Amino acid sequence: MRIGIVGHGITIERENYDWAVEDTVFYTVQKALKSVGMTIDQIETVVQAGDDVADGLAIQHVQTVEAAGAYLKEESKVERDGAWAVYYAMIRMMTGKFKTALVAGVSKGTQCGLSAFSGMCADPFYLRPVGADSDTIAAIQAGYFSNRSGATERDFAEVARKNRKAGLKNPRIMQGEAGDYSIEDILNAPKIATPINELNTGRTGDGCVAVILATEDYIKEHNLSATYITGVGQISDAYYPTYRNFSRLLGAEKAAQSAYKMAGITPDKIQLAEVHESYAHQELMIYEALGFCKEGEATKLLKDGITNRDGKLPVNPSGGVTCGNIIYASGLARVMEASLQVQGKAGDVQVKGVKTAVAHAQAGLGMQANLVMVLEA
Amino acid sequence: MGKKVAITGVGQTKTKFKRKDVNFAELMGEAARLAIEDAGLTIDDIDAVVCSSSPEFFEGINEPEMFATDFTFGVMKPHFRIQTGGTVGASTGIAGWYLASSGMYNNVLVISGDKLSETSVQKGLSLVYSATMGRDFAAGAPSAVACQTRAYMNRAPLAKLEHLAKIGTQMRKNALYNPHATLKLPQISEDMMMNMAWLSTPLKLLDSCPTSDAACAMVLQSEEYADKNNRPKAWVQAVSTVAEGVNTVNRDWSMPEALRKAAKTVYKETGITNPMEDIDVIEIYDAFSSQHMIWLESLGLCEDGRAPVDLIDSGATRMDGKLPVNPSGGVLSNNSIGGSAMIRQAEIALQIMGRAGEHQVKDAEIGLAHGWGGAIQFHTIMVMSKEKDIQKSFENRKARKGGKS
Repeated sequence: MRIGIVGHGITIERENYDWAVEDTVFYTVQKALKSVGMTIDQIETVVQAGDDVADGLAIQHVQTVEAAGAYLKEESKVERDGAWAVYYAMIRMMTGKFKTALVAGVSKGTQCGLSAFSGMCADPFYLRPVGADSDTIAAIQAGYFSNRSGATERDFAEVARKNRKAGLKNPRIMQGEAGDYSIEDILNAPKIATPINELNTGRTGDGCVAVILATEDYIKEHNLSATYITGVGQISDAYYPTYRNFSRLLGAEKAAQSAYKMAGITPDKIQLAEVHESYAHQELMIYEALGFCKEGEATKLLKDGITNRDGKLPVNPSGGVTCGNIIYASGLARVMEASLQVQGKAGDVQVKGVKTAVAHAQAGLGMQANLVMVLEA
Repeated sequence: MGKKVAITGVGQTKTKFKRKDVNFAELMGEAARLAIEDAGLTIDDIDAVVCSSSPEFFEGINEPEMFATDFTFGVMKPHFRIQTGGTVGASTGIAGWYLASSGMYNNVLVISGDKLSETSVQKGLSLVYSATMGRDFAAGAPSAVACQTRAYMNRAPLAKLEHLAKIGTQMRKNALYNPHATLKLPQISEDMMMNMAWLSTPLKLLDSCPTSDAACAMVLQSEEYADKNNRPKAWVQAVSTVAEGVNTVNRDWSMPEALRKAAKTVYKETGITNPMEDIDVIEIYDAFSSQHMIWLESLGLCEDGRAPVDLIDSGATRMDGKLPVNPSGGVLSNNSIGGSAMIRQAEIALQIMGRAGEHQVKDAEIGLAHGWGGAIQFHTIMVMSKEKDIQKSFENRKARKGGKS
């Protein structure tokens, strides 16, 4: 049984002091329902995603059950990026129990801050005493990747330049984050943890993404426009970076292989990708892991303009996570953007004729967990 | 429709108030290893892992499943976390059912647990309350459940403090036969219960659960793999996870709508018409003695307001009663929060497999496991039977009990 994405909604802001987490969820879910002309009564199951620490709430979705329309419904919550909630909602539907599902991922990133949030992901024994957080671990990862592949800070800046420029046309990004920067602007941005700086990573903000899923029968019966999830794979790597091959994304490679196998495609069939690059260098690592190029050729792909929005394989034509990070909804936002592209609803960032796209999401310190989803018309 | 799924292995860690010998990841790993061995499988047989715990504030580590990946056999495997508060163990077991039933995976490992000794549980639970609307009077779980108990005693005048004492005593007596219970009080009596200090009126100290360091794990296999596994197994017949709102103003805590809805769903799917007659054993998430009556009423075991007399005074839910409830001693005897709701499912699975040891209910054919969580808000149910086709289990019971189906 094929499952399709039929509705989309996003709220993404640098900071929103007016809304509590439940307001953010409510207005985003309403947007998603409106996008497909459905009411909450037509939703049979709800899967939410969010994090207690990011939102400063224990059992965070206690507060959002009503806002997400999960009241007296079969529901659950995945404590991981919303892309995993799509995966779980899809699996719930594959049993035949539900014809429709709603997925909402939310984070009020400004209530905690990325460093505090991710620093708590570090174990108290080995990683926390040395100041491990999302930024510092990513910096170490960038070093390993540079050593192996020869990619330079200038290449990372090129990724950030591409994505920030692409975002200019996209209303669904964090306002103020897109821009036509020069490489020098990006290289000279204030440093966070070398080579990570304020322009080659996405700013953390507040927001939510909601998508609506339906079975193929339901989609046909109601004559809806849909993006079918034809393949999905998710893989975790070891926790301690020491135990991983930190210059490569072996988990993402395996996740991509299982997603492609399930969809029955090879990477050369992919026309567009939306990937979860919390840091610019990660986009290059993802090119390799998703099989867009051979090992060590990611920078060539970038420099040849293949992954530009007018290239042969546009990557992050939306502007990517570089144009705004809403922690537990950033991967889900990639799924949403890729789905909009396949349905031809991406607006000014629409790439012509996209029939097969791939979305990627990551979680954990230094991309410990990865999810890859194949989306087809 | 989805495939049939059976639980073929369960693992429960050693429990204590404080497990000084393991950290969180090792505790989770202990349960995982036991469950895989119990199912007669190896790590390589496992296709996917769901690894959960309740709020991060209990572990002091964010995304603790990441920290536990290596210990829970998740490296280079699908591995993710569900988090629904107290129900998390049950939601995780149910996620395992969905994964195995969907056709995407065949052999799924689910693990859930917490190491509550690392934290102040009530401080963590106070963070459940809304930062703007509720934290001014947030006082953890006992104060909220005290309100719930008052609401129940108000609606059901038959319920007296003596009933809470009876339930507490009954559960602690059952726990003496369960090697995995944390709180063992051989000297327990109704007098002792009544003489305890107030916790939050009308709840006394022993009306509450202990806090434990514990984890539980299960292996769920899809039909074709479960059939090939000739170990004893429990077939999952219906699952439900229902939520009600936290801000609904007219919510009656003594009549949880979510549980009633979940019960209706699973009874319809399994053909259970009279739960008191049709079920052999029940495990409920009774973190407080009063909840024992509230949950059982909502499960439809008796008329509303009659639980104190029809279920407790009558002895119907005792080990020698008509429908034993919590032979394990329940959450009142072991509460790690993260592990507790999965332990309910694991205990029912053991009862159905006939492997519950000293607390085995004779001829358990059909069982029900319940979970509670959130702000008195989330409810889960899993119904299991000995036979793959539940109708056959109904017939077995009929043949055995002569006329009763």
